[in-house]
Amino acid sequence: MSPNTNPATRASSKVVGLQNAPGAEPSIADPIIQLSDVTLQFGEFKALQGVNLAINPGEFFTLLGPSGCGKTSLLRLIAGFQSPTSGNIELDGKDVTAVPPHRRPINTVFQNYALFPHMTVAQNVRFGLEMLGWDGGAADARVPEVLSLVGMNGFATRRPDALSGGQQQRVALARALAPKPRVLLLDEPMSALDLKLRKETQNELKRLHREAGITFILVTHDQEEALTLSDRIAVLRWGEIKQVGSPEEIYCSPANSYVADFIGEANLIRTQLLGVSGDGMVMVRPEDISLANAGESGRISGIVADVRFLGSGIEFVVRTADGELLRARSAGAGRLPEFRSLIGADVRLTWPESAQQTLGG
Amino acid sequence: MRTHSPFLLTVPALIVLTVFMLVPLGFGVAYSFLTAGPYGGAELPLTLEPYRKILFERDFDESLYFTTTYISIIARSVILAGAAALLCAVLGFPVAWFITCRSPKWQGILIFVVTLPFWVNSLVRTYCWVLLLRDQGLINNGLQELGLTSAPLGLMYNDGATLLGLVYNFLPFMILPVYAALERLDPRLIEAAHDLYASRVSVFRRIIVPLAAPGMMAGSLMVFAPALGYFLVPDLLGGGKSLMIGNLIQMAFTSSRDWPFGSALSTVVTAGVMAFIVVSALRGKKRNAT
Repeated sequence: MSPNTNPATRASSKVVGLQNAPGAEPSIADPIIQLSDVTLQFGEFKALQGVNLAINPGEFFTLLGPSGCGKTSLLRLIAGFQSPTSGNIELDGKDVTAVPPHRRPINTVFQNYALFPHMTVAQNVRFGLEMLGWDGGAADARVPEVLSLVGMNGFATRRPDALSGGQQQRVALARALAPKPRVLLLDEPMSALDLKLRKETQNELKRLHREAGITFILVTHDQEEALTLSDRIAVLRWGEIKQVGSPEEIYCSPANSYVADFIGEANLIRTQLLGVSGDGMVMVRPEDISLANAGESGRISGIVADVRFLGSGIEFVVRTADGELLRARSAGAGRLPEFRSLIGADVRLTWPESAQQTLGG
Repeated sequence: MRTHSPFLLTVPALIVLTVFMLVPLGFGVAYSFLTAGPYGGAELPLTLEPYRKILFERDFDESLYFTTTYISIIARSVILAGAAALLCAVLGFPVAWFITCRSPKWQGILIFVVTLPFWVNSLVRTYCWVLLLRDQGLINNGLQELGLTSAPLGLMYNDGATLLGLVYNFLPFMILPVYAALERLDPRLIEAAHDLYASRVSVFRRIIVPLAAPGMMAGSLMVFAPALGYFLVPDLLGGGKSLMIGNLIQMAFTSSRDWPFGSALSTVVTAGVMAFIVVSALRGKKRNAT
């Protein structure tokens, strides 16, 4: 769906870039959202410092980090609820730093969904269209269209408080997608759902992203969710972006020990212990480490502190000479008694050269 | 035993309500069907005369003729109380919104300030308005000193003065429930509306006002009901030309010693207010159901 099919003719001119002027179509290579040197400060506290970020059109982009890392602040800046202390934000190459949220062609799915309690599902979905000045007929057609997109067509006359959490979330999605925004922001949309529903919703989001063909920006602290859904991920910590990359890049070649530790599980080993040159850390994923065969020297040695049954496999916890605990995973749950007998024994661990990453700071 | 205790705890309140509210109310209703005693009080036989008196007067030859004297006072009371409720809503809403937007600490202070007038007797406060509004009062003297007027403006003893007094007295009863409604309003709903292209005016009209409506409804009732039967303000500021039902009832019980007539008027007011509350509650329920 191209934004040019938008029937908002009268009011949309007030909304920056909701309808592109003919001939001013941005090329695919240009980022849709560009943040340059963005800093956000609350008194002494720096929520964001010097953030540079370019998000491509049509991308599923995820801001990932623990709570308090600034990811929600970043989303609020993009939506326009907050103004940066310094730096600027561009949308389609136009500076929107001072543009209020109701003039940005960006819609948000809020963490608690923020559905209007005094309106029915249909009225909620229609709200944005009315505010944009869509004519009645177009809005009448659009509401069932988006409701069926999220599978909520039978609920048009219900009130939000008569819906379950998952249903409310679908309505919030429909409401945000209805005005055909250029960018959809999702603020931890799955945090209030139970595990099973979360998995379903992830698939649903992926499908909606494909069908809507617009840019999705997701905020989450759930690394698995980020890895599953995203085209690219930005990992944040203390208001700084620590790495931007595809899920594979983030997982397989983390730029620093923070990212390595935050994404998946990682063993971080000081280079001196391995006799590798340089002063830093080496990261190895537990699934890449195995016990060295008899006669093999291995890369590091230690004492088996624990053997844990994981269901899908077995995890060894090995204490190295300097007291560091390393984890190694292996398949073969059936050999548990045999492995248990290794507790307290000296073992040597090894991993393929390609599995180890040398990290800076 | 545990399951009974919550009910037992309500017993004192039930006793207070029954003894101090329902019993006098029953007496009032009963008195309204009795005959006035010569020195006040009421005696048998039972009669509808007190109610008849509201609409009809007896001529010398005992024939009844229709009179609008009391009807017009009742109508004035309803209009003044309604206007007071409306004005309180218009004036109270921005105040409640202003308070909601402060920090929690300031909210506490401002709510305290709103309730501050309750610490001073309303008779004293209403007399203060007399000092301000009378012909030799602060406002008229001030205007004449400044040379803006040459003679005192008749600020007192009219409906406007009564309305002013009612709004002044009952404004806190509007501010508090509206504040309670606004304070519960999730600020993320306002953000969501902005996000969906609503301007500030649209957010106010489509989100804030509808969600504050229950508070405004409660506030309107809390202003309208006591304002309807109030007698202090119309007595001091309205004078003889701007009587309200409250004055009528007071006069019936004191100077004219017609207790049954006073009771009949009270019963009509009470029934009217209750009907209003029931109707608006039913309408509110119907709105929520759809």
